[in-house]
Amino acid sequence: MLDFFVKPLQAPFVQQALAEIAVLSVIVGVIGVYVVLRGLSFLSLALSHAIFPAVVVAYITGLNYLVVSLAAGVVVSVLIGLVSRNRRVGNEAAIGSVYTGVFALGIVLISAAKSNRRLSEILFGRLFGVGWDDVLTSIGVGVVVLLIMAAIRKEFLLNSFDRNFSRALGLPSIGLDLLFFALMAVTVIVSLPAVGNIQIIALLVTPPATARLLTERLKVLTLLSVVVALLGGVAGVYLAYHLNLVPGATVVVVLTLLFLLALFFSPRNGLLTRRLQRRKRVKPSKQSTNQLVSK
Amino acid sequence: MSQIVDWFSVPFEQEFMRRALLEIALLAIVSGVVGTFVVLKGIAFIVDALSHAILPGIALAYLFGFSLLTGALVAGVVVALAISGVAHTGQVSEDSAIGIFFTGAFSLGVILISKTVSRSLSDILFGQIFGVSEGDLWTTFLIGGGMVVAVLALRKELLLSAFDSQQARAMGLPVDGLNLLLYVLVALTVVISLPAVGNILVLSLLITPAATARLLTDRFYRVMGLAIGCALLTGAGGLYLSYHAGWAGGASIVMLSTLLFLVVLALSPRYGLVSYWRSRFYRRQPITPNPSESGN
Repeated sequence: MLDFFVKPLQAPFVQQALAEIAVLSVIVGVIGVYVVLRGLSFLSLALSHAIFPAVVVAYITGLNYLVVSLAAGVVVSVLIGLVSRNRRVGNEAAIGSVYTGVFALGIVLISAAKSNRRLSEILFGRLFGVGWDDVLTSIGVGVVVLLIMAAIRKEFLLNSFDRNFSRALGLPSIGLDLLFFALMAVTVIVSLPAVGNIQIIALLVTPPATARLLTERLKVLTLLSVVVALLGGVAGVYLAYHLNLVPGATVVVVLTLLFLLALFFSPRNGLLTRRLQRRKRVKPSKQSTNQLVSK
Repeated sequence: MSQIVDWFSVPFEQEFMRRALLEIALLAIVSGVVGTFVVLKGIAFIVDALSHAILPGIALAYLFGFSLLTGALVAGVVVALAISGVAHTGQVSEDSAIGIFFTGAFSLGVILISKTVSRSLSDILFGQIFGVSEGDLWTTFLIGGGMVVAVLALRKELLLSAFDSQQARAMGLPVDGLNLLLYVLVALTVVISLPAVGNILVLSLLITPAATARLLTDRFYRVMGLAIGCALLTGAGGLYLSYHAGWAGGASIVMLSTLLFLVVLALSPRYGLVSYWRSRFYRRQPITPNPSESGN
């Protein structure tokens, strides 16, 4: 039993993977709460795919990944923003058309460059291939993101819950939106090399949605979503190590299982819990109607 | 001049190129028909989710040797039911439910395939348009043909429930059943496109041509016809491009398709950005409200 936990820790790549996933859990847990509150899953999916060509360019040319992908993220966000302003197209079709095209550009780039790096490695991330420098980068970026979030959390919160009110108060609604999209893009960008394109959405959405089933207070929600991400991340890394699975995908499967557990057994309003409570509640309600009748 | 002719005719002499062109033409028709409804209803995210979520079904089909079609359909229906079931509890928004379940299913599929199936994952994810077999063509033709016939037979019901589900429900149409039918059609489109473009880029095949067509016309059947036209154009163009430049086939088509979309978005006579900015520039007064709305 002890070996199960201690033995992997002796391998440096597991140490690095655990450190990376722990750092990412904190960033992703905090940002993800707003992604879930505002229903931005599809946008985060589009962002993660649209940054893909930048990943490819960085791999092929050896340019700094962060710089290239930030540039790509900005270009794609502006493009989606412009396209979705056209009422004929609609938000969803705009996001879909733009991101598939940009994603395809990345695949064409790979095939044109005849890169010997395997496509699936870029697509699904290499959690077992991150180095300490990657972890340091994530820590640096994470500190900046969290400081910004902490500094203007009230404005963010108001803006995502009640836009009209926040606008009436004179808050720069669009500016706050853009700032949040930028933070989300940065979060996606730092996580991408480790967890991959699809998995990043799960990391952003599943932990806060799980936490949401357990609490309604925002502070607790944020804390819980970090804890859930951490739990899923660490458990996923251990499982992937012992069973020799794709690490990024394993983390996501564990997270999904945690969500299902919370959905059914949450003490507040889990599906099974509610059913049990309803059965208990039947009796008292009958009594109270009897009392009413007897009066 | 003869160089231009050669550019087109030389690839056409290759058997695999002819098959690829035929396959993409068939897919263009099917996805144009189905995609028009997808764009109209604005359900791109759930379509994208379904196309990713069928991966574990494909993996299990490979593993146990039953047909890919069955595996993908079952996986698609299970995930669709899970999403709508969880969204109906009201505790998780639909957007989040989609995000949770499709990533979970997709990751499960990645694990299953990497552990068990000898075929490379990227072949399944991105297809091999130049490796389409005669059997694939027949599958596309038969299933696609059946789907088009089904849509044509139910065109009025589908159209009404897509445009105005309240009215459709009031008229006694089984709106939920029709929605389910649309999802099944989408899942089938994903499955028959699998050998050619794979399940990640199929979203583009479904929505980009229809979104492009919507920028050009208002009439429903013209949108459908134009969508098929756009898909044929970019499909053939992408194949030639990929043949001559040596690029990935499916991805070239998708890239070209988005490019066409962006060009139309900028230049469309009615709804294009250029004409919008021009009309704003000339109209120096605030927009007057629609007389039919103000006169009630």
